[in-house]
Amino acid sequence: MSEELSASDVVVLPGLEAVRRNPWMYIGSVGEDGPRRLLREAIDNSLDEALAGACTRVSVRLDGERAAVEDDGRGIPTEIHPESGVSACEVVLTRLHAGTKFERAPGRWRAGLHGVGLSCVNALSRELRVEIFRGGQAFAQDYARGRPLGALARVGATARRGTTVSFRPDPEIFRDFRGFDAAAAREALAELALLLPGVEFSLEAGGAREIFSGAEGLEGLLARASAGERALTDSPVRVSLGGGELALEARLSWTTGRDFAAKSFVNCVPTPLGGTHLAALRAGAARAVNEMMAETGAAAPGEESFGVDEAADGLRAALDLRLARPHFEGQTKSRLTSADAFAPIAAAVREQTLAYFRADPAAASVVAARVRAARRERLAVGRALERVYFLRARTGIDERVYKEQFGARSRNWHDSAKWITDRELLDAHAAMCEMPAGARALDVCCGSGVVGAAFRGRVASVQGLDLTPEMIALARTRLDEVRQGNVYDLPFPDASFDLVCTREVLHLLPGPERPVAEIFRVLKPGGQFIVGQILPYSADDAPWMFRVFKKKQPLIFNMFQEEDFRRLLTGAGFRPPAARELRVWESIDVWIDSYETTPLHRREIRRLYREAPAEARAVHPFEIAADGTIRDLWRWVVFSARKPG
Amino acid sequence: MSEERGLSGSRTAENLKTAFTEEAALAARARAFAELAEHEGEQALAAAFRDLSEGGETLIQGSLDFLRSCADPDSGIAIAGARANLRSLIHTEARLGERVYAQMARAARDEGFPDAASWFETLEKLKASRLRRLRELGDV
Repeated sequence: MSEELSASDVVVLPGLEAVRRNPWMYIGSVGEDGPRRLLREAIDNSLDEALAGACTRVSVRLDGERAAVEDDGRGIPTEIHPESGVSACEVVLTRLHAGTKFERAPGRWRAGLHGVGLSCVNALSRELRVEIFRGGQAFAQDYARGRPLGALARVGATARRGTTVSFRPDPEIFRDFRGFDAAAAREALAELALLLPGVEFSLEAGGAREIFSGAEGLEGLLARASAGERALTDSPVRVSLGGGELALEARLSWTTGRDFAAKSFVNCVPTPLGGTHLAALRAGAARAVNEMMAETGAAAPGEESFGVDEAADGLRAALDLRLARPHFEGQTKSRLTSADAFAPIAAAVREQTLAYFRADPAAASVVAARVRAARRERLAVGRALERVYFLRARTGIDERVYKEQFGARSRNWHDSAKWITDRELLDAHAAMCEMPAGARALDVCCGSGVVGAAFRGRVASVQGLDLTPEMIALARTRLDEVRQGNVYDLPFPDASFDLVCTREVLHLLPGPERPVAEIFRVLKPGGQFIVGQILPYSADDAPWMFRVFKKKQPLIFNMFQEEDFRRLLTGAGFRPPAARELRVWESIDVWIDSYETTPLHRREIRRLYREAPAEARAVHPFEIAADGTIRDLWRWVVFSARKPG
Repeated sequence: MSEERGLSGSRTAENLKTAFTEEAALAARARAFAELAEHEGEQALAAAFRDLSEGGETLIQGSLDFLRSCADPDSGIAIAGARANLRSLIHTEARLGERVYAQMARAARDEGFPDAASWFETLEKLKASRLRRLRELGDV
């Protein structure tokens, strides 16, 4: 049974002025994630009541730029705060670090931002109204940009209990805010319902009211973590750990998916960047897999043990951790850093996963086969990386490396990055065409043929050339004719084409001078070469971008900058090129979800974005959303170079 | 009683430079290894490596504390205020950007490692950009 809150339960730490001055320090972003963060803080305030067992209902109303969060908890204390001389409610709404969560009562889990939450919402709202129903009385108070417009006033008698906070984010802070995103709120409330099945979560938006069912519990969260993938076993591993200051419920399932993914929460707050709890879960699962494989004979005696990446490849997890004193990286709590949580979680996951395998030999056998497949893939990628260093600019390239990699990627080529089919980008290449309608064009390293196909209607025919049989099959559906061949030695006579196009290829080729010379050779005098390339914004972001791109794609040999690329073209005999620059947002999460990028490299790429150096950030725009997803505004330059007539 | 003299030119000064460079490299390696250990689920090792890296800062700065009384370990310019230190950093950025990385790029290309050559060339260009910024600060 929850205890009643009183004004003396509210502890005050000073200072709120800094929030409006540096809002991103408190809520992470003043972009589209900012108002979402405010809504989440208001919800977390109610969650604290739910986690304390003091409320049964949390409802959210969205109405354009306004949001309201209502609960039936104990109500924020309304009495005069003994140290401040104003109501405890006003203290909670106007002072940073004011809140009952600093009480640290053992066994209590708290969701809000260590008391920063509601005061941040208030500081960053153009207007905010709090209504409190407590002790048979209703109270209300209004604020504007964090300042009270009057004292907390008693407005009548009531049988209700709880708190309603309604607010409108300040357009002076959130300049691009045009209204709350119901989809994001729906996602958050649906997940909370699964974490707290005893509490009713609802959303009113666009004239409709939805109540979210928590009946599936953690299994429902696991289904969300593995959406679109097939579970390899009939039932998930269930892990439970109860204790004074740490409680854990987790579900684990090996799937047909790639890499490791999880829905993880600490005190019901999502931790999209993971941290200690997920590291422990992966480590515990890996230990259980290794022990199972040794016990069942699935691993040969003396065989190298399976690493975390191998054991957790395809593993999906839902994890609900309650911690009395969690420590996080950053104010928005997206990554748990509590080192003490590692050992108990790893031990519980190891022990209970091993018990699961022992009780279900069929499941153990399927997981053993999955883990072995992950090892085979890792070894194949390793071999490709080794072979890269046998390539020599002067002696040509090892075609097998490219065929293996692009053959594998052809299975989902168009879904493997946004840029591949981006219409504006394709049109930008085609728009550079200066050739007459009767011209013959060649798309070199054509992939699926989308670039060449963009020139249809501008030239008479488009031929394609690629090394990879799987890509050639795709390109044949778009181009007039497609041949297999190597760009270092084009299988065409001199002066065969009026136009040659290619895109995002030359950086993958050692000694790019030779393929450019080949392109020059097969062009007719006066012919045109159109080539698109992602380039750094300047020398200042280039080393950082080099690391990101090289980790994504080990076949990168050249991090061109604009002057290098111009020199490459003029060095082959082309006239100084014209260029058009355009910027295209790319989903980094989609882009790095590919065969050639190892799980370690995916993790390192995400870290490179989180810790990008100031000199790169100053010139290169990218965004990291509250859920950890990353998008990058890539700088594309499309060059057009003419062969002298 | 031994004759009192400064550190400049002594074997000890050279050893302090070595200690400074070696500890800086060790701390950077330990930081990278901590990330790798964390990914492998080796939390205890990750924490130990991170501690090593963070502790390394004291050792690096400790050697530099001695060198403050003589000169910057790379440029040889006295560590005597922000303007002198700016000249020291310009000296190192220029040395790397105008000579060292270009030579490294040529060697990598000659040995058939075009990606490493491109990396060195990328560093060379960054150094040129930094030099411009640092020299502008010097002008101010």
